[in-house]
Amino acid sequence: MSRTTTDRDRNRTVHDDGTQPWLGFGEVRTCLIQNLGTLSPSASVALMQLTPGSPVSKVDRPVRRVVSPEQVTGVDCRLQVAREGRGRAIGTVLSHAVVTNGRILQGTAYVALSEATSKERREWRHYLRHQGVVEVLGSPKPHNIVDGYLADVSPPARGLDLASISDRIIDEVQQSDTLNHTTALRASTAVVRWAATLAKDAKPTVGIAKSDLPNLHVIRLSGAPDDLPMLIRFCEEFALHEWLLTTVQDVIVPRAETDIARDRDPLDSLLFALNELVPLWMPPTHLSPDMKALWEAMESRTHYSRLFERQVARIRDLRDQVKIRPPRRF
Amino acid sequence: MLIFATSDKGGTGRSVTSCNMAYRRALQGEAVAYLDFDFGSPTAGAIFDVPKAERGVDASGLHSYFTKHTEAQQLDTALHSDSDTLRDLPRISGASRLVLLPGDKDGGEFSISADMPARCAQLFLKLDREFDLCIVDLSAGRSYAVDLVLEATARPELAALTSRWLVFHRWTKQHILAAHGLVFGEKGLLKAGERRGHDPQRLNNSVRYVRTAVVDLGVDQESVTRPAQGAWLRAYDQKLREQADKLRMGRARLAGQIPYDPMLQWSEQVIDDSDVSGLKIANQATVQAFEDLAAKLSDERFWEGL
Repeated sequence: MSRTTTDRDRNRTVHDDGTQPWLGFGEVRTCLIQNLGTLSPSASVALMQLTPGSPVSKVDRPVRRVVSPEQVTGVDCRLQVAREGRGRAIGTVLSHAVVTNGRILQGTAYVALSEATSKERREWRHYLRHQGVVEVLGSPKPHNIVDGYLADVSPPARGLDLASISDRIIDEVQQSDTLNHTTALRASTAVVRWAATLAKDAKPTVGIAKSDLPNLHVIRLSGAPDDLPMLIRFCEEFALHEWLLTTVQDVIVPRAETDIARDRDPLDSLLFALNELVPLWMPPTHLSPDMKALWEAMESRTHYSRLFERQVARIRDLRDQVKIRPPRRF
Repeated sequence: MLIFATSDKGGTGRSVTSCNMAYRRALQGEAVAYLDFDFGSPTAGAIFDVPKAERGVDASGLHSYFTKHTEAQQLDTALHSDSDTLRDLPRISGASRLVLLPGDKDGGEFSISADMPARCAQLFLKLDREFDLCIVDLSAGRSYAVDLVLEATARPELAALTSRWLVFHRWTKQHILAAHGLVFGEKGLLKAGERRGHDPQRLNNSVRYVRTAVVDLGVDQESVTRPAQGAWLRAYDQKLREQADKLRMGRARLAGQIPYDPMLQWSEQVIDDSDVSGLKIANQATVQAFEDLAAKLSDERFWEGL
């Protein structure tokens, strides 16, 4: 797999010859930055400067969000197709990293799939002109490609391997010598894998499926081809909030309860959650009416915000409990 | 924290002890990753009773992580093991998870290429983000795996990580000498570490010893039937202690002493309290020794410079 990097137009997913993509695939990984303290805004920007000379984008409100330049990875691989049919994917995958509030790191890889413009592989120059697009050779049915991709979750990937690309960008950032590599809180990396069916004039929809693997969430989306950047952002926001909820619910609260039961001091991690994680809960409903509709559709089934509030209340209870009766110190 | 488990000779019970130590830590609430770095003959899958990794996995094991640059797969033992003990782990209050990073079937040793130490450091960093404890089971003797981890831990990005070494040996004159050679010898850990940028004094301070299959003269009354036999064993035990002291492997550096347990001689597996109290096939002293060893790993006073 080769990799080149350019600072060309980011989300150009429509071909010059007018071919529209009919599918979008992606994977988002979310974890804590391996640094004891919160990164300053300038340190976050420096960390996201993966391509010298290319602009890092930064938004300060409602939470600080710093995004790296897009990285381009060339792929030529077979597609994992469910049921029947075979296909080959040739083109380029885009990936970028995101730092939220100097604490959370996300690595995201995504691609739009479109019909092949030729029966055979063309020169790389052609594919590099359409960054973030892979052309599908062969004629597998779109829903079989989607099911094949979403089910291809245990490594090594048999088809298009966006998992490795999003994993690699995380590792690349985490290895930076600007970090002190001290883990502030041990928590799992969460993986969100998504597939979007794209059709002209289609309204954005979202469905979230359960997966058998821990820390993996599978999302099915639909929308118009122009919605793809919004769908990618939705998945990143979902991944961030899902990670926050899981970390608070499965790491912070049970650990504090065990600590209290065993007379150890749980205050550090409780305060870390209250000061560093809770303020990050900021659903992206302000971004656009479509984003708001998608988010509310997701909320109406998962009730994430209510679950999160309940966990935050539990953390405050535990904190107060420790304040009133501090654990015995030996 | 990284724990490297090594031994000079095979058959010391290094893997079975390390697996049980891993289980004990998970039981105490720490997320534990167990890395099978015995590239030639991965065994941890069998000890954890993970059928798909019994002799290593077909693809995406640690061997392929280094040689083929694939992702290293993580098998949560609660989902992949056939052992009731491990499957029940998530249901125990306050317990955390125990995840195996298996080796590859038909892996074999490999020589270290230029990018491997960085890749190894990257893996350790990644696991440290998720796990409280990483136990790296190295093969017996001096291997490429030992060189690889020495080189990786000398890298600046791992400077903030705590690394500790456990050297396993049986309680015989030859095994004590062999373990001593593994650490202090010409081709030993300290010399090899120094060549890769470790401070030998500091490295030596991070090494502790585990004596395995030790006959416990207080407990094993049945096997010691004649008075002369008992007297001889006690005298010989004393001689071995003196030898270990002289070689800087004495009590102050003793992380654990695992008693001889007939069950583990025949079946290398993770044992829990029900194997002791219910089925009565394992000895209480064995479980206690695993528990004590697990506790020692994070006892800072014990690991302070000597």
